[in-house]
Amino acid sequence: MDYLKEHWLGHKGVNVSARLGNAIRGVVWEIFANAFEHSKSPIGVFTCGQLYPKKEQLCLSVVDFGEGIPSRVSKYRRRPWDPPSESLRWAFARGNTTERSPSKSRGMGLDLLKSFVSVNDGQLSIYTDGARARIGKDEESFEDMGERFRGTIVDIRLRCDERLYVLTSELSEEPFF
Amino acid sequence: MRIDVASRCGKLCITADDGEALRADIATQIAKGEPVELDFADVEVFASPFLNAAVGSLLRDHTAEQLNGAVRFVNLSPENAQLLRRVIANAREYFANPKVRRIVDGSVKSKDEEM
Repeated sequence: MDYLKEHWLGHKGVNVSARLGNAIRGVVWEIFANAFEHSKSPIGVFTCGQLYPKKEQLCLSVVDFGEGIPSRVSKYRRRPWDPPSESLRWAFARGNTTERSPSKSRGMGLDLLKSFVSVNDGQLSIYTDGARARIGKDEESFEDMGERFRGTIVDIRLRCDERLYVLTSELSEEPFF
Repeated sequence: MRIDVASRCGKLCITADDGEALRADIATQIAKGEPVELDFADVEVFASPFLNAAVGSLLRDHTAEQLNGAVRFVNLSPENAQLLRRVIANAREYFANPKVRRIVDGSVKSKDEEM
């Protein structure tokens, strides 16, 4: 997280406020948390990033070589006949998780990523097992791929635009609970 | 009682373990009948694993009415307030799930029987 702040978002070519930078770091952490918690990757998680200063765009890819989201979901739901794309779609729904616990709620990570990317007018692509998801402001698609990739690739492209990280329509004065 | 979250958990509030530690502090105060003010000044980053454990999980053992009366959040940015609301909404649905309630009620009953 410090590396993201100091060397990535802190790069001289990046014009990002502290608030937006912190929001981006939070979203990126959701990706890593998912990879470490769910993937069971035997050789860890790999990541690389690219900055495009003129485009004001940040790109990050996170890869693991675990069992893949569709495989994990279909086992959890006991639905081996489900197409990989349907299992991946299920994983994106808020509250859905393959790690149930009586002590705390879960299942927010992918939904939060989807929301952030949509507001930011960025793009999220996930390639996992035999499925692909593409999420953007005006796009949400889940497809089955001809070939299977044992693991998960998350590719996220974000715009460094101060206006694009909170939905003002969702601001509320209601009690929190 | 005011809890300075950045002092308690650090500026990066992202892990479930840190969230659980904060939850325990909050629950202790609620059990004493003391209101709690969570001050998020100086917190730089939030993530759902932390918020699920620190705040969402309070709904396992307390009602929304109790928590609205006992817990106050201050110095939250609009985007972090929005994130917190989503986590709490998710937790409400989660703990209202009959399957989860059966597990929770079973573990609470077991502890009562031990006592």
